[in-house]
Amino acid sequence: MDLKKILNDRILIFDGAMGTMLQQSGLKPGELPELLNLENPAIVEKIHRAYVEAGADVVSANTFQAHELKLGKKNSVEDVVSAGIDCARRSGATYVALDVGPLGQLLEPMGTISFETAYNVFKRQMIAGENAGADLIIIETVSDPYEAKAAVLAAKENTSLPVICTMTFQEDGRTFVGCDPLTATILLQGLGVDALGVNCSVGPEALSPIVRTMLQYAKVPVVMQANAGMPVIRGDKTHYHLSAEEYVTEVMALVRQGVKIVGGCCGTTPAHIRMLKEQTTLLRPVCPDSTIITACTSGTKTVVFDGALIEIGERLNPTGKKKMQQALRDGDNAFIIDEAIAQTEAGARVLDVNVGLPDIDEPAVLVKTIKTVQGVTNAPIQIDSADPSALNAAARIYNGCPIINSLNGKQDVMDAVFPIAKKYGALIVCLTLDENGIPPTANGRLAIARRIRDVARDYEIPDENLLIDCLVLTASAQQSQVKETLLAIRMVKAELGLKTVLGVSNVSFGLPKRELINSTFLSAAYGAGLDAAIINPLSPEYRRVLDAIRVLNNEDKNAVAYIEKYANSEIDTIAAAVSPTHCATAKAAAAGTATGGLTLFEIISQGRKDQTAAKVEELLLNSPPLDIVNNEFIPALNSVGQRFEKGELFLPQLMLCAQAVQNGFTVIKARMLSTGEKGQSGEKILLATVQGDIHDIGKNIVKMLLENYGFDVIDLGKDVPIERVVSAAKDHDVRLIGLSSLMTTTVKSMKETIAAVRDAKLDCAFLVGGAVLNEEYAKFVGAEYYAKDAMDGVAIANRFFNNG
Amino acid sequence: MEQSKSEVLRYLGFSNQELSQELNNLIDECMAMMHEEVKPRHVCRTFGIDFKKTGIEVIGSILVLQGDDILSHLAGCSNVVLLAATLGVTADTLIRRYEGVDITRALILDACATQYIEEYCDHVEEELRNDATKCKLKLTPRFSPGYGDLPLNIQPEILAALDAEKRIGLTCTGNLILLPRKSVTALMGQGEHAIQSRKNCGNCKSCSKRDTCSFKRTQS
Repeated sequence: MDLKKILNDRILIFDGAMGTMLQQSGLKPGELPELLNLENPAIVEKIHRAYVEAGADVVSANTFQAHELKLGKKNSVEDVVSAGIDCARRSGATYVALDVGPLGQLLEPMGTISFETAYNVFKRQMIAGENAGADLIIIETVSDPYEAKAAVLAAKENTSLPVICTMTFQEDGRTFVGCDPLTATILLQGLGVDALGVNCSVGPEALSPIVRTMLQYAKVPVVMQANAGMPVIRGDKTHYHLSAEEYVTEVMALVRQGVKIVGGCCGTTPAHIRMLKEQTTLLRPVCPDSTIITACTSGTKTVVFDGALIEIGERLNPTGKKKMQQALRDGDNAFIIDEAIAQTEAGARVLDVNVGLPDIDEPAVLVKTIKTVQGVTNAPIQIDSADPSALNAAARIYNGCPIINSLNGKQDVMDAVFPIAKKYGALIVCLTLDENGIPPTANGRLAIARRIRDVARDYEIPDENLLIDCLVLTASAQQSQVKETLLAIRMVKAELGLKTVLGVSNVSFGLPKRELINSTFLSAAYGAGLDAAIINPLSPEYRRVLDAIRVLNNEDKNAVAYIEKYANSEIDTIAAAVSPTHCATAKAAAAGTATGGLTLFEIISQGRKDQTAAKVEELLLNSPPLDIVNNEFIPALNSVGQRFEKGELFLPQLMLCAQAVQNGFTVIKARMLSTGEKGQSGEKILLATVQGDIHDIGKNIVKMLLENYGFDVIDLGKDVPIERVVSAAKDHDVRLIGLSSLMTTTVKSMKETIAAVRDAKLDCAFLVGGAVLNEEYAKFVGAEYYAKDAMDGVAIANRFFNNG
Repeated sequence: MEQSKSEVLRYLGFSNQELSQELNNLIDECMAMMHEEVKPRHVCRTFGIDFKKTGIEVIGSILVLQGDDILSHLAGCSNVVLLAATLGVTADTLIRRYEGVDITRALILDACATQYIEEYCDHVEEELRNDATKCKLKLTPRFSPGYGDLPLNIQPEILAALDAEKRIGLTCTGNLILLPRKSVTALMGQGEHAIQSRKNCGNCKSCSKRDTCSFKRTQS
């Protein structure tokens, strides 16, 4: 089926609703319509035939939920799908589409289905459809762009059929997970669908703002299959009130603006389709010009390179950062999340993520890190790696269209990276260097940029997806070349019309007062036309310059933000280059007045979590770190714990105290890292929320308290497969495992997990907790200890390790 | 103290401890954040019921309600109103985001979300009761899967009967956990003789965990 050719000549008409038609014929809500393909195919065929006679070109087979998660064990996907395609074929339709709906389960991190699992479920359905003879695939009613990505990839990688994808939007213009029409358009066409659009939820007119946005930015044909109005429930019946005339009038308004494929969703009937066919028969499709933009997306946000200077946060990079290296090696998600959120709150609109360390499995760690970051922020991500297999793995599971950092002018690098960018719709940072190194002149860099662009065109990657990095060398080593970078930026923009990006911090390497050189260079680059800068958003000097640039660049309209921030503040004049002791004393002195002279015991007991760090810095001037832990933290924690047990404190108060200690520990650990002092490593405890359960706030509270008491907690997270608990217990050689579960339905997983560890002959005791548990359930699952609350868990752990 | 804040405190295990100004402000802030960023949705539908030996058949759906507690709850009713409500993924995302950087705030947001969905359901229930009254009918309080001896395994069927996935984006995992997490499904009996009193439900005294629960309401 040559979709493109068909759409040159006419509007393509899909059929109308199947579900609501079947319900009118007696199907009960809750019954799977797809099973009728096997149990009563005549009734399905009859509905298809009615649509064909009404003029539909394409019939969507009754396969919307024909995947293994909905069909379960009783019927095979292959049987239901091929029966569905057969019914559709027998109706005499010109084209038969495999209809693929969402899985009915939320994907990670909101739910329990991994991206990989979703892909595999879709894959099976898609292959079954092609084998059964479908002419094309339509993926519809999707709310989650991540799910759409899994489905589109499954279709494109496992079949050779045209792929259409439509998403469903609510009246507020967003999907249930918050995706907007622009983001949906960029993502779907980035993945290479043959047509994209919207279906379901509301009537055609209510969809028009969404459709108009899609028409503006889509480079592929736009599809609309609206409901026959908003569904209204009266008693036990659902009503869709738009008549065929009303429906078609609203649809035609959008066809005239450029929609090329139309049909009907819930509530539509053959009458609606007949009228649609009549009104579009002699129409030639309108081809609106698509607005070209350079854009990257997350699942719910698009960042467009349209004249504002885009800040890309560079802090998630282990080079020269001991803390981050340690965090990556330990699997410390909290550190990563902290850095990600701090950067976005400081103003970064995109986050660069790099995990390049020699001794780790970079693709696996990069995948894990990106899944973590995209779970907590909706800023698009720039995937940073020199390893194409890491880039590929990460771009694949990324929710949205990322930026790939980077490729360069070497042919083998371009050949390795361009296909990845093409497949996942990514923007690409292109370094103007090649086999001969970095050209010393602007002309030389321009030539490489031109060459990269030509090769990109061979790979069918549009010019607007390239971000040229003209490279900046250090002023201290190659001073005469700094100007060449600025000139190169100007030339790339003027002569090639391409966007530019730069990692600014390099320029000041080796010089004092780096921030002054960096921010001045940033201003100069902005003046040369730089579109995006990779910088540290938490640097006060950068922040000041960027705030000013936003005024000068007409972004901060009427300088509202600038005035609010700077009208009353005093510029911070503490010198940047000071010795660590001096700095600590200054901080401690400042803190002393702020805390009003409270002791550390008092600060912790009162839960003043923002004051511990400074106080601990002060105490470290006179005491070794471990003394502070043993003589200050532990007694304070014990006192707080007792007050909690007595009911003098309730849970949030306990947690503020625990956070206070946690913040103190951060300072202690940083000190020990810098002096190379090794602390006594605490006893190890493995923690997990069991398989099938996604509640983990209780477990995380226990983790925090256990770490406060010096235990080394290995946290496996939530919904942890049984095998993973067993292998982690083996690898880390733990003696105590804490399991959490919230539902009666997942207590079973707890029992199975414990049994599996026992079967593996590991010498472990189990501590269990969670809202559903009690002494009785603890015995049932085979655990030695039951903790009724977080403090109880700590007490049990302490007793366990002290008694051996 | 106003009703919704005292409910949030109850979910946090509050029992008249001394509340500092900062903690008080944090709770207020979290409540405001939850209300500002989150948009609750619901879908409901009325079905006729048939009292059979195998259980209460919900006519026009595949649902059959079993157990003694739902039987007494729906006594005297001719219809059942099914309700599904959710705060959506925004609430979960908000809580998850703070779990990484400020767990106390995450805990408080979690309690605020629980209070918000319950308050929203109270509101919807009241509207439904007013509608019923106009038709000279009574409406029982809400009764959810998992209460008493009404099994959890009817969750998927309730969602399917309401087309909840399509209408409000509410799903159910294989382990019967509703996702997004801050969601409620409930049944209300409707009829001339429906029992409107809260004596046997929505009430700590009738709950099976009343002896061990640390979140009990102190007044009845």
